[in-house]
Amino acid sequence: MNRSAPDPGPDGNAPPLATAFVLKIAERCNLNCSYCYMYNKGDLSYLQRPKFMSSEVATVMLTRIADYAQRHRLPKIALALHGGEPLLIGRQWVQWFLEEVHRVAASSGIAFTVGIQTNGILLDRDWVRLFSAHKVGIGVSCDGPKEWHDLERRDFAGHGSHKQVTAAIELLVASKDVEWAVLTVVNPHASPRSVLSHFVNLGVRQVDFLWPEYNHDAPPPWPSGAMARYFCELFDYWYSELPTPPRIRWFENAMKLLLGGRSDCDVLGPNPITDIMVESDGTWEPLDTLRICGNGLTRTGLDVRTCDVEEIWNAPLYRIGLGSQELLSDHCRSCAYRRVCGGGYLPHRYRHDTGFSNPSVYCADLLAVLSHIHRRIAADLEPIRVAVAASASAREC
Amino acid sequence: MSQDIPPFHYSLCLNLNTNRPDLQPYLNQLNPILANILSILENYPDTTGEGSLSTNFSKILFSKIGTS
Repeated sequence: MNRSAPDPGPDGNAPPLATAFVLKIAERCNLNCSYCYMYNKGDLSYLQRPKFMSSEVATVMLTRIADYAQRHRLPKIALALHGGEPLLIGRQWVQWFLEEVHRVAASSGIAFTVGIQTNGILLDRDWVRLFSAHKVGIGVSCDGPKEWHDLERRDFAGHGSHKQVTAAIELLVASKDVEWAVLTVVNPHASPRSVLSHFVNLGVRQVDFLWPEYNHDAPPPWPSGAMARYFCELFDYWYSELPTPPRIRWFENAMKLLLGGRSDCDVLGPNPITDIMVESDGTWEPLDTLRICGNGLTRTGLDVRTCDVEEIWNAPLYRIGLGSQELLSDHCRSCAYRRVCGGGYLPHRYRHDTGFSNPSVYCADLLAVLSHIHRRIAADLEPIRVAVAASASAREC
Repeated sequence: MSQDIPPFHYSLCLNLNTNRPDLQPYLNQLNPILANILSILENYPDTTGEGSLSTNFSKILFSKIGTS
């Protein structure tokens, strides 16, 4: 094994440590979604990789991750089974892998949590039983009502997948002992009310709304302001109209940041991007959505069979993710909301000639949404602020 | 240096204490999503340099509206 010490950085200290690993156990998909950053945004590196992660790679990878966690005294590590479509690898392999995770956890003392992100097409009772038995959290991708979901999320014959994903969600609603959530990619032409109502009516209790992956080289196909209108209307509906609103991660993180707290995701806030991907061929790579910035850009050549986790600290693109706040543009540095948006999600900042030192391609929309949420929160807290100020004033008198 | 977002919440959080029954009517009417976020923030370390963030405020929330 290669145990060469990785470069700890100019100050001699270890960079912020990754506690989450995204495992590309299947690098093919049974859907052909038009907006997919893995396969339909210009990156073709998947063609050079095996369709599925081998058990040999998975075993070495788990050992490397456990060794890394022990070296840095990290008690917990999150593993996300990802793709492509991870269920394509088959139940037998996943069962073996989950048992392997337990074995490594027992021998290393590291607590692993495991999640999976699926398009739901193959999800059935047997899968849910397996995930329930191993306490695997499930994320299902769904874009709302059929007319919007089937617009983008189709198979290779052009057939929509709404019927199958709805069946998967209904299965999860009926399964009381699994943790699950929905991920939805926003189409600003849709009605946010109808999308959220659709999820509420299905029984979804946690959902995240994702901004589609675009950057300055490939900007969004809709006018500036469209996303802001969508998110502001969605926020108002969620925040003050629904009797039992589901959790929406993006809004919760925006509110936490506006209130002075921290984000627990990489799409908002000033956090360094520490998550590490493991490709099906066993290479450590930086954030997968950075593939939209160039064909092969995320490739590192760092193989789990020869490289410790820490060697990714030397990968230039990974360092950019760690230091994304140091690359903020002057525009972002002078913005009151920079600590909340963090300058925007890193892939959305990219431009081929200026790299990542740009405001997000969604900057105007982000500013409009965040200031809208800010105003709503401030208005709700205003009576308390006034009461506190009045009593303080009375005490002084 | 940029101008930061007005920290309306910091002064609010830092000035509250647990003996403020006069605030109960306001707290009872607080948006439940906002109340929940504030309760989450109680577990966060201060990131502002202005002292303990929202701790007192969320303690009041817990005791008054039972969201802990």
